[in-house]
Amino acid sequence: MFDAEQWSQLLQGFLEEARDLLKEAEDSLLRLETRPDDDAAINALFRAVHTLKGSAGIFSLDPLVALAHQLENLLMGVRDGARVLDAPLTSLMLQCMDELGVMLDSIDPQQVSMPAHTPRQAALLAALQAHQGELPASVDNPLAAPHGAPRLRTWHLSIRFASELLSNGFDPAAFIRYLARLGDILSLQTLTWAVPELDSLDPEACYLGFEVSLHSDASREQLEDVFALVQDFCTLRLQAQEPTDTALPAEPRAPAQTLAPATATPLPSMPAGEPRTASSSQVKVAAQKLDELINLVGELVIATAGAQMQALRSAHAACIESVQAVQQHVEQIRERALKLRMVEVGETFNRFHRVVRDVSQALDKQIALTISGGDTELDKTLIDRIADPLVHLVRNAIDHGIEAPAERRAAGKPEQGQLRLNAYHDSGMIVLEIQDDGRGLNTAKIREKAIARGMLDSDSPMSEQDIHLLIFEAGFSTAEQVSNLSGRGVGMDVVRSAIDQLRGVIEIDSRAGHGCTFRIRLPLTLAIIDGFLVSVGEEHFVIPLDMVTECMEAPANQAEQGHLNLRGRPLPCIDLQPHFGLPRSACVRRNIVVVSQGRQHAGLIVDQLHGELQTVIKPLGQLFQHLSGISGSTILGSGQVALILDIPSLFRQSQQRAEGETPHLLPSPSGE
Amino acid sequence: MFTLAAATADTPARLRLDGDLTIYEVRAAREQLLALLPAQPVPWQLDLGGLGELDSAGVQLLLSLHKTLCANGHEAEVIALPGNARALLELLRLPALCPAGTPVPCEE
Amino acid sequence: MAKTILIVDDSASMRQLVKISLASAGHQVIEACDGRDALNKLTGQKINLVISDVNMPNLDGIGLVKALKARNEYRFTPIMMLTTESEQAKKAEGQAAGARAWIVKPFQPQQLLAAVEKLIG
Repeated sequence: MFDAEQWSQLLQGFLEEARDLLKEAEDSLLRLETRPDDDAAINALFRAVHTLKGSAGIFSLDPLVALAHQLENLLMGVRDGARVLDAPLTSLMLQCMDELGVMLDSIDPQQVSMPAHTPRQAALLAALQAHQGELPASVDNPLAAPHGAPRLRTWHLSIRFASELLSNGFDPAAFIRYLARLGDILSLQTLTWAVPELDSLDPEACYLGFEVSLHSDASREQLEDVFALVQDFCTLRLQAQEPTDTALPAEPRAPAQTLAPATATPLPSMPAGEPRTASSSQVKVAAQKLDELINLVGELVIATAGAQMQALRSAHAACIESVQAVQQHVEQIRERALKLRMVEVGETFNRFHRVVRDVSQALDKQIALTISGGDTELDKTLIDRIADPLVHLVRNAIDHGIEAPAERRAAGKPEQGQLRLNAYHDSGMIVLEIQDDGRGLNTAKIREKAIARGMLDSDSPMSEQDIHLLIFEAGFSTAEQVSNLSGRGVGMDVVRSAIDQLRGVIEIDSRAGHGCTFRIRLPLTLAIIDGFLVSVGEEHFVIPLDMVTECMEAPANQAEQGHLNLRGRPLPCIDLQPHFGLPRSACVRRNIVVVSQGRQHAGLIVDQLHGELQTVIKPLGQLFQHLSGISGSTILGSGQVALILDIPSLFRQSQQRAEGETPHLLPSPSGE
Repeated sequence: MFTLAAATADTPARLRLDGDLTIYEVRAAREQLLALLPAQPVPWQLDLGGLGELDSAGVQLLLSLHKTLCANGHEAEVIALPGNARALLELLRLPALCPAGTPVPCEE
Repeated sequence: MAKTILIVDDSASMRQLVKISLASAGHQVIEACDGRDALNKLTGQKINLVISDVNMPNLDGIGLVKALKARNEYRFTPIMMLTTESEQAKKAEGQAAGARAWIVKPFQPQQLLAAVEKLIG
């Protein structure tokens, strides 16, 4: 019925869904640990494991089904109040979920197969069964299950209405509301395709239909009864989509049998999370396809700019007008395409419940994690790339920031430390904060250490904030003894360079004894940059606009000394012409663009200033990847390539030279 | 019921609905809308802040309006939505008619 | 959400039963003792549902349905009829007139509430 490719696609879909389910299950489990009475969490947890088991059964992934099944049995006891979800059981379940994750990773989507049981799985199964054994009545036996256990299953309802439905005084929404009382609406699609445009609409005729997946213990009769009132105005198709009996051991099923209904309906859909987050019908798209689309849109933007330039040159009014119309649409497409990549940061933040739990247990600290701003959106790529640095900062806060309970008590603080993750938008950037109420950074110790490592002169005047930022320098680690958590040989410098690569900035607000906040500012997206275009000779460069603080004409001679007197303060200067080894241009009047990042400032000496532009970043080809100081390229409307300057790395280079060669930040005029 | 504030240089045309939108009102509402629709494609805002009762017939009319605007190349955006109407639209999973979401693609 | 429901029945105890059931679900109830009384009490206010007996003095249930369908402001108001087994013959007549839901007496309050929720929930 299915060829290998279709199978593999179905399985791919399952794997994605299964990972989501596992995550949901883990989140719910962790939530239950703090709020054991959270019914919604218990139900979500149960549903996730149950759905996972059901879908895995379709693919005959027996070891996975077996483990999920045992987990489900235990959860059923918890849900029905027959079992308490205590700490050991939670830990065991978390281990099981980890193992389920490992199993998912081990599945080969091409072969639709997975390795057989491992001893680890056997041990987990035995542990689960041991827990199971404590129950007076085995839930494996459906007859012993509480109150005759009506069968929970997922019903699929296809509902079409006659056009006279509305004029007869029936409101279809009322039936949907009623269905929602009979179970959980896993998914619902209001069919709106038949609704005509206004001029051909009969407003009192009904054009709507519904496709509903309902997880319910209601019988077929009960569901049919809901629509009995409107049987003259409605056609109802009712299908038990996933007739898994929650109380029976799942028999490994022959794929052909189980997939028969799946030809008519998609794989069991994700249970809707909180009812409030109305899960509208969603389409999952491979991130790579989005990247391809956005890349093409980028090309389109550039091509349009080119066309516009040609049109302007031709001075053909009609042509200019059409190109402008095209450009407006392209602009809209670009905006929407970029929004497709935006995802809420909440999912990434929620991962930290587990991190905090594990790390604080290992260190014997009590820590409460609060998350806010989870609905803040940012680019998927950014989220993926910032996740690891965030983990590092969170671990660091738990390990070094928040004190042990005894120490906190002695300091007059509550034993439980507070850790807060927060996200918000601020002037075109997204801000992520990691805040703890621990001991704060030890400025004196950092200074001492920096001097010992030769990173700082003992008499150099430096503000407290600048000293704090030293912890991000390579080879700096303040932990007296490297714990196996945050000090795995990876320093904070890795965090910093990850953030630099994302064109982000990190700041530290630390108050000794009161806590510390790490604040990461990131651009909303990596694909587009608001830039400032400059040129040196024939070469064009783009400077990220948010780093530009001012522009001025270069005073003759002075800047070539490597620094400039800017309102009484020395400003290190980098002449891009020798820096990139460009031929000396005939330009007499040169300009300086003052750029700043955090508290660092520098002047970039260029020939001409061309003003602001918004442009699509293209990754550097192989050829240019070794070029330091350049983070990407873009194509101008004229077809010329402009290089995007990597300001953080220019800052670093200039600093290294300053340390290595001269006392006053003189860039080497010989270039690279 | 519907009142229209025309578009200006920097604000989109804003159509405001006050009162109920149910099976009883939809016929008159449709007539009124047809008379108000502009010929030129402009961005549109539909202000439902004054919406009273909403039922499926009303939802259907809003869907039709949205479809009409989209088909004519207008950008349609819903701003402000009272809680009961939002609850209905969320029940029916129709984010296209809810404000504060991402702009809704005009498909179909 | 609270709804306004008109209950029309010449039996005060039946009205009481219906009223208590509906009020327990938070609905507003208006009572009328027959079809004519009902039409008199409907003065343009919004009614979400009419629950009516069939056999009543002055104006019976079927007549009420017809009268309501003829009034612009109530033409879409759903009407639920309370009938007894012996009145099955009336059902076709009522349907033709525009009544859409039927509940057979005697009924459990739960049954009534479920039917009301399906119609106007």
